[in-house]
Amino acid sequence: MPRKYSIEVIPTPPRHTPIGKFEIERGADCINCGRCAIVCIYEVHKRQEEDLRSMAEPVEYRCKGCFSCIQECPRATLTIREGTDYSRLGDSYWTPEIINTNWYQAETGKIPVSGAGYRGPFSGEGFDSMWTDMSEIVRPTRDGIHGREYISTVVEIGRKLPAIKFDSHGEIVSHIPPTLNVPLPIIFDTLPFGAAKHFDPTFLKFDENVYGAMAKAASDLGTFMIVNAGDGFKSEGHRGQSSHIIPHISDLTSHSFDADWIKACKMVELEYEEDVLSVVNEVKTLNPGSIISVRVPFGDNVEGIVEELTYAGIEVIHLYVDRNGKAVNQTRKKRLLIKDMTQKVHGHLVDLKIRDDVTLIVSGGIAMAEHVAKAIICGADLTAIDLPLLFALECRYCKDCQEDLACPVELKDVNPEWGAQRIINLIGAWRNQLIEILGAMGLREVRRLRGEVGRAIFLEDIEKDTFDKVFARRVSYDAND
Amino acid sequence: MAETVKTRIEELVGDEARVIDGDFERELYSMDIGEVPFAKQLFDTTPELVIMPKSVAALKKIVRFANAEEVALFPRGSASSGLGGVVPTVKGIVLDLSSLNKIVELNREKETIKVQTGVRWSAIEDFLCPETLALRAYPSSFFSSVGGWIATGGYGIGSYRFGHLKDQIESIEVMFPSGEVKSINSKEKEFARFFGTEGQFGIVLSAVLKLRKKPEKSLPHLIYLESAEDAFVFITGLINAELKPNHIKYMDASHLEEANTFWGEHLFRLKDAVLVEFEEEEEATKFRDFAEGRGILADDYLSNYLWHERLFPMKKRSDKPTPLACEMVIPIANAVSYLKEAKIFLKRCGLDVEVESHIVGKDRALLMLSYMSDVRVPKTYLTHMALIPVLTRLGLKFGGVPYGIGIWNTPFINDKYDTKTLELYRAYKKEVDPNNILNPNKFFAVKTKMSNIPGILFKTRIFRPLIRISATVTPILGKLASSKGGLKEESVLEKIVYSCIKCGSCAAVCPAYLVTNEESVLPKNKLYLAKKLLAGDVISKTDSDKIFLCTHCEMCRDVCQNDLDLVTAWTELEKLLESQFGTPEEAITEFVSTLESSEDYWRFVYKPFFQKESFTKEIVNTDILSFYGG
Ligand SMILES: Cc1cc2nc3c(=O)[nH]c(=O)nc-3n(C[C@H](O)[C@H](O)[C@H](O)COP(=O)(O)OP(=O)(O)OC[C@H]3O[C@@H](n4cnc5c(N)ncnc54)[C@H](O)[C@@H]3O)c2cc1C
Ligand code: SF4
Ligand code: SF4
Ligand code: SF4
Ligand code: SF4
Repeated sequence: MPRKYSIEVIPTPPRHTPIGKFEIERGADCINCGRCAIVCIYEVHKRQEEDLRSMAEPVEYRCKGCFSCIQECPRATLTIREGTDYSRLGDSYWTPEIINTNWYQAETGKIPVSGAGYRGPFSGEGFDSMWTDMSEIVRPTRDGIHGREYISTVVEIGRKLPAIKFDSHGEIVSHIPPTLNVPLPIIFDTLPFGAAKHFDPTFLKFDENVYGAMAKAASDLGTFMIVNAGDGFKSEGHRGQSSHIIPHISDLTSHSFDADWIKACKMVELEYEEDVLSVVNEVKTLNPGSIISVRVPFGDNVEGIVEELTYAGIEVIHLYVDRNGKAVNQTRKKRLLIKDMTQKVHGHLVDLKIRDDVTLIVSGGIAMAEHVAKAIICGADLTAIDLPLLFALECRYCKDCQEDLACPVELKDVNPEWGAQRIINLIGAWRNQLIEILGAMGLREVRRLRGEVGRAIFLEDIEKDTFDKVFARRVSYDAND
Repeated sequence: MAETVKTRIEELVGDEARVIDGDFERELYSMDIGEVPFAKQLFDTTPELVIMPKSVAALKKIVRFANAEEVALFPRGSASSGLGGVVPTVKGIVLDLSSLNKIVELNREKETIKVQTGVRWSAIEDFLCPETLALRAYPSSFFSSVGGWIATGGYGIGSYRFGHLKDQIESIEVMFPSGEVKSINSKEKEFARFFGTEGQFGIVLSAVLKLRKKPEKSLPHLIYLESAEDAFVFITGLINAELKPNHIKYMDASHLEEANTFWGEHLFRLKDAVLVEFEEEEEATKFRDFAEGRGILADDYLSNYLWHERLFPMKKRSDKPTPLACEMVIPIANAVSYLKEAKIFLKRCGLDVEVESHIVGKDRALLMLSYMSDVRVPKTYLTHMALIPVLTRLGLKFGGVPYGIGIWNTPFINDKYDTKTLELYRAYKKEVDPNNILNPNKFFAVKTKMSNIPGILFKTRIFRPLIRISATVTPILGKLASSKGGLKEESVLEKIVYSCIKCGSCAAVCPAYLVTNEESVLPKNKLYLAKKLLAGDVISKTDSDKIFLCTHCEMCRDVCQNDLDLVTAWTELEKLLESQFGTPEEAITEFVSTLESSEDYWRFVYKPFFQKESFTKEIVNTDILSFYGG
């Protein structure tokens, strides 16, 4: 039995009051009966620690709007209303719910209960138009995560050998390509904003604290973190964690990367370019044991590029879309979505029978735990996440920093220890949800989920089914097809 | 002796009674709402033990024991009476009957309800809430016990329509000092003897109360009139017009002025007024016709407000904290003449009097004259107190009868009952309580400590001339006292400790009391402890800790008869105690968990009276009883 992997979540309160969906007010008629504290499972209401006889101010941001306290208050003195700043949070993809739920998970490490915030299946496009079929669900919360402790979330990065050959002396003859085991199918991607201008001393601080937190979390979790090689963040101050860092080199022409750093890393990521293969060789020479990943934007002809790279012996391909889960560099009118692109690439490799020769990392717009599962169902081996990490550190996605305005939560000042724990909590909660999904599907390994499109129901299919019957003719659902 | 009595009683009753012997707690049981500074000099008012029986069987054992050992017993309901009825005179045992409060049986066909007498009127109304039946008359001390009202006045809200309490009871069960329990129905001649006789003959255990269909409406009407004379003419006219009001109440202009002061707004006209409540629209219409031209009808919301306030007769705003009152039942025909003389007299003493009167029959009114004094200024207070018998005496001249006796009205026992009745009562007392263990040294005759020398004063013959003297000297003293000016700035606590009238209204709504059943957590008793603390008395940590058993729910404040700012006071008091003893964290934690795990508590919290109502001009309240129950 392998050593059990577990994530230690520790409740870590925010530094700034988060923007909650609801505002709760306790009126003057309160009799301190404590009913609200008993019925609220989100700990919005509590007795005062210094004096148990009185109620503390409600911790509004935690409120999920279940209305239990409103209904039960004997004095009808609680009022609830939509928070004024809440709807302005985020954007149409990174909705206030998503941001808030990630905050909640980073604070508590608990699985969010999709109570009032749950929007039901098929409530949008992209991953939201997919519904994981959890027909084997047997009271997942009751037997809990505990009953599922041997569900494995480990994934392997690197080429899988079909069979190992031995010589007459029992020595392995085939060249064994390097592989990496990651205890969960989530690694940390480069951050989309916040750290771009490293000449500014503010951003040095950002690098030190924010990346510091991420690096510590990655190291504690046993996962990896991709860092732009050009960013101020270097391995020096983070010796212990450097083996968990994947430098991402985008500036292939100048070859300006730091050789010492490359030597210390288990994996290096290169941005795709015409002559990327020559740089691959260069890196391999510097550090023959390292795994090389090529980062390819999801866009026109991505299948072709992936095919070419795989045949060229690249072990890992990191496919990325934009922040909102849509293809980049795509000339079509309607840009494809991450789930479709992943399915396409995966299907293509399967058709060529070379799927196991390469590991597919998928990133862009992974906003919640179920997106990880869905990306894997669509054919990814693992995912890389970015914004949720910033959310764990309280980012409000106000984008003020991109406008050179002051960050309302002073992200650059986070304490790396605190930040690391918040990220660990978030990932812990995500992993538990992943396990719940796997358990409900009757799977014991996340590896088995890859490409299992039969495990999901797609809105398009349902629509097709229904409309085909109604109109008795084939209807095309992709306007661009 | 207390120790041995205690052990013996504990052996006798086991868990079936709570025996209380803490010093401070016993002291709490030495008082009623009357503020009588010299009571302790005259009597041994602190009981040796307080026993709270939880069953009739236990009570029987205690009574038998007391009878055999000749230990005095002082039955106590909610202690809201004010003439010393519950105050021990010779130490002895106080029987706190508040745990004998079961609702035994509701008979929907016969429209009756059998209750144990420790139950509060408010609790009965609360119980009847889902039913189609309601109480007939009830005291404005809605929070007081059934047994207490049987043993005292028996006139209250609804008495005009339903008559005296004894007309609303089918039967009672009493326990005599021998321990014998007897059921007595209203047709038996013994029945009436238990009404108004303040527990002299036996302990009333249960009563079968007559109920009635729940009224559909409450239609109070307030009529302004030019003078007390006009008001009583109006009332007499109303009675003769054969209308069917539920209740009729007279209030003088000062009463309404007080309401204005309370609200800080000129809501009511400064006139004498009559509040009449109807339950049928038809009768109310007839009434409005009747009132037309005779007086001025006030706005509905004002009538409703005052009708609600009937349960808060003591709500006052005055810089003086201690109310004093004289209550008499007087013929309606003489009421005005009496009031005139009484007012002139009190004015000479520099006192502003306020008058309120419930019409309790076609020809009789229960008249209450009250004025504010200040117990912290002893000399003046004593002279003000001495005016009560003067006013009573004056009332006698107009055919009045004192409403209650207790200790302090004993000199008037001959005026309350005719000779024949009194003879009969004395003989009956000898028969049923030969050892004189029930409420001794009051009602019939007072016997004080110090070989009864001060007690002589209470002898009717000696008392009379004495009060004549006080009537002549007080005007001067009173004037002196009232010109003295205000006291220094005080904290809320300091201000209100003396203003609590110990009515016990707060007891009915205090959740802390509900779950602890501890007399010392009651708001009135917290204030009593505060009073001692402020006076520099030594308080024990145990007693101090109890003060913290409070949820700061403000319910006490909502029902406080004197509208005291209690919760601010609790905060101040706790601060004072914290500096002496620290915060009793453990006790608090335990208290909160007891509270939250108490089913009684949750049932209580969801009762309608916790659902606060308001009396703004816009919202006119109709379901007024809900403040306490209903
Ligand atoms: C705000 C306020 C309003 C009031 N309004 C009214 C009113 O409208 N009408 C009115 O009549 N009074 C009124 N009172 C006076 C008082 O509340 C009543 O007399 C009340 O009925 C007393 O009940 P209690 O439970 O407080 O009795 P207690 O004061 O505890 O006892 C009164 C007497 O009865 C005896 N006693 C108590 N229980 C029993 C029993 N079970 N068996 C035998 N003897 C017993 C006691 O020994 C004592 O002598 C009012 C008082 C206040 C403070
Ligand atoms: S509405 Fe629900 S989540 Fe919000 S405070 Fe009340 S009980 Fe808690
Ligand atoms: S349930 Fe209502 S009354 Fe009770 S503590 Fe909460 S807010 Fe106060
Ligand atoms: S505030 Fe305290 S004393 Fe007052 S009713 Fe509530 S618990 Fe009782
Ligand atoms: S605190 Fe108020 S309600 Fe309670 S006993 Fe005192 S005056 Fe009455």
